[in-house]
Amino acid sequence: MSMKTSQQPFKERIKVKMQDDVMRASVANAQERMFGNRARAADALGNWDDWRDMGASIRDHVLENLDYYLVQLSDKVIENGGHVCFAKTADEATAYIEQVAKQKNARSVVKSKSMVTEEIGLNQVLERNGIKVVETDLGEYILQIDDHDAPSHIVAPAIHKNRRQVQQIFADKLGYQGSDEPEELTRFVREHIRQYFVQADIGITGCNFAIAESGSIALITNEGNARLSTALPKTHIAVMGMERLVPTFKELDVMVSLLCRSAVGLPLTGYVTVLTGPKEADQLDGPEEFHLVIVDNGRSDILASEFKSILRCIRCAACANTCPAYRHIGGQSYGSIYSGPIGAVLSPLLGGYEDFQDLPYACSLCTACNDVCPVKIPLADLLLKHREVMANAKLTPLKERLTVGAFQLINKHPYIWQQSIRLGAKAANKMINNGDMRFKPQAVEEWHETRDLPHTSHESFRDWFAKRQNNGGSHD
Amino acid sequence: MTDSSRLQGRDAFLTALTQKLGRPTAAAPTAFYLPQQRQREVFQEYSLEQLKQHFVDYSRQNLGAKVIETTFDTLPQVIEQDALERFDEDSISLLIGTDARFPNSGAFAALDSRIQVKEWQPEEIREQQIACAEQAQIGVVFAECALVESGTIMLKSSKAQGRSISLLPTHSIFVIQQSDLLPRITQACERLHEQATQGHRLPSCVNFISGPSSTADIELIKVVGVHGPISATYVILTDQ
Repeated sequence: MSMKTSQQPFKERIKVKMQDDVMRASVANAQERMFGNRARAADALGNWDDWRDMGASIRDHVLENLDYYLVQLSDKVIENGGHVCFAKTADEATAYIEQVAKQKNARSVVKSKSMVTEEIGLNQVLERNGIKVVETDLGEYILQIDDHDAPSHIVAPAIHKNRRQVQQIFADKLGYQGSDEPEELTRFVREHIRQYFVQADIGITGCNFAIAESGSIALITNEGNARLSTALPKTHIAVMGMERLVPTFKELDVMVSLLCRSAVGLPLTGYVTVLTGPKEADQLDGPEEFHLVIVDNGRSDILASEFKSILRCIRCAACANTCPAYRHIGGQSYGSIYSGPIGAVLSPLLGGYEDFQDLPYACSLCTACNDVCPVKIPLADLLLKHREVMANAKLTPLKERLTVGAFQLINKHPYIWQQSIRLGAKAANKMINNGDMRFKPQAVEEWHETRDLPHTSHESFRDWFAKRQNNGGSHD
Repeated sequence: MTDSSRLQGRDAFLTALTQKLGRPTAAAPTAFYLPQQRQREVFQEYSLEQLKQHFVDYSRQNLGAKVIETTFDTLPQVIEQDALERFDEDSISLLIGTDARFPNSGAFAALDSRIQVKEWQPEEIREQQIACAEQAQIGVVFAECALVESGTIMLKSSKAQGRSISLLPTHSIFVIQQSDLLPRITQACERLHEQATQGHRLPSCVNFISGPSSTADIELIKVVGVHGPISATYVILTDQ
C-alpha cells in the first residue's frame, strides 16, 4: 500500500462510508475513549500547555538545524557499526531495502508498525521479490490478512472494525474457531505470529525518534512486536522520516512524555525501546547488522514552504481523536494512509494536490485540533492555507473561481454591492418557498442538500434600516 | 571520515536539504534551551518512601503487575513462591540472567524441584539460547533502575542478560534495588545523555518496560498479553 488508499472520488467515498453503521459506531467509540484518555493524562501531569511549548520549541529547533543533526546522527550510526542510507525519494528507499534483502537472501520479513514504510510502499516491493512480509502489530495484521484493507487511524489502524468482524476475518483467513472476545482473538494472534518472528531473516521497524548524539533510535510500542522484530532476526532495518529526530536524550524525555500521553493517554507506553547500532560482539541476541534508512520523499520541500510547521508532527493522532469531520467520515474516507487533520494537511504535501485536493475541505475549521496538538501545529490554519494555495494556483473548480471573482468585484464597489443586494433580496424572496428553491445556484446546491434555505425579506438590511430611521426609530 | 561503504547518498541529500534551509553549509546550531523545565518538577518533593509507594500503587493498579517487597537474602524464596503461584505444572522452566547483582547461582539451585532453573549462557549458540528462552515460562532479570511515574523497569542489554529473557517467556520477574527508584524518565535520560556526552557507545538495547505487553487494537479494549510477556512481577529489594 502506498500513501493513496482509494481510487474513488472523495465525495463518493464519503457517501459509501457514511452508510457504514458499524464503522461509524466503532470510530465514535474509539474517538471518545482516546480523547478522554489523553485529556486525563494531560491533566494528571499538569502544566500541559508548558509541556506543549517545550515540545514545539524542540521540534522547531530540530527542523531549523536538521542538516546538522542528520550529519551527527549518521556519523554516530556508522561509528556504532551500522549502515545508513539517505533516500531522497520513496523509490531510492525501497531500492536500498530491496538490495539488502537480496544480499541477505531473505525469504521472510517481520515488520512492526511504521507509517513511513506504508508511505513508500515497501511491502509491495518486498513481496514482488517473493519475500513473505508479516505485519506484526495486531491492528496492522488484521488489515493485512483482510486483503490489505486500508488503515483508518495512524495509531490504531483497525478501529473501524468491531470484534465480530475481526472474528470473521480470523475464521475465514486463519481457520480461527474461537469467540469474539478481544482477549481470545489477541491470544490467537500471539500463538500464530510467534513462528514468523523466530524464522524471519529481517526485522523492519519505523522510528519514533532518532537520537543524534548517540546514533540511537527509539521505538514506542505496547505489544512487544517491535522488541521481537529487533531481537530475533539477524538484520534490523529501521526506516525514518528525516525530521523524526531529537538532538539528545534530554529532548527525547520531553517528546516521549508528550507522545505517549497524546497517543494513548499513558505516562509511558508498555515499551520504549532505545536501540543503538547492531548488537555487541559478546551478546547473543539482537541483530548482527543494523541499517538506518532516512527518507526525504518531499519533506525538504515542505521545510522550505509555508507548511513547515507540519513537520513538527510526532504522529500521535490526537488531532484525529478530536476532529468532528473524522468522527463522521472515518479514517478511510481520506483515501490516504494519513487520516484526520494531520492527514488532510500532510497528504496533499507529500502526495500532491491532484490526488488529495479534497482533503483540506474535510474540515469545518472548528480548530479543535489546534488545541490538542502536543507540538502546537496550527492544523486548521494550514488547512485554510491549502485552500488559498489551491485557489491561487487555479486548482479549484472554475465555477467556484468565477463565483468568488464576481463576489470580489461586487464587494469592491459600494454601488454595485447595494444594487446586487437589493436585487438579490427581491429574487430570493420570490424564489424561496418553505425553505426550498426550484432553481439552485451552484454555490447553494450542496449546502441545501441537508438544510432548508432561510426565510428572506424582500428588501436589503440597509433599506430596511433607512426606512426605520425615517420612521423615527419605531419598531416596524 | 566515515566508512563510505556503509554510508549511502548523504552528500547529495544534505546539499539539497541545506539549500532548502536557505544557507550555504550546515552550521552547528546555537545552544538550545527549553522554555521551561517542567519535567524536573515531577515528584520533586517526594521522599524515597513516597516514591516507592507511588511506584507500587501505579504498577499494581494501572499495569496489573504484581509487586513484592523483600530483602536480598530472601530473593530466591520470593521468586520460587511467585513461580509456584503462577504455574501449576510439574515442571516449570525458569531462565535467569547472570547479572553480578543477583545472588550466586547456588542460591537458586536449592529451589523447589518442580522449578528447572536455567542460566543465560552467552557463550552458547544463539539459536539454542533463543529456543531456551522461547520454551521457558519465566524470565528473571535485574533492572538498571525503575521509574516511579509510569511503573517502568529500565533494562540494558548485556552479555549476562540477553534481550530474550524479558521478552520470550510468558511471565517476567524484574528485580529492582530500592535505591534505583527514579522519579521519571527524565532522570534515566539524563544518565544516557551523560554516557553519550562522554563518548561511550550505549548498550545496543535499552528498554523501558511498563508491565506486561498489551494492546487495544480491537475496539480499543485493553488486552494484557500480546507478543511479549503476559504477566509481570516486580520484586523490590528494600535493603539494597
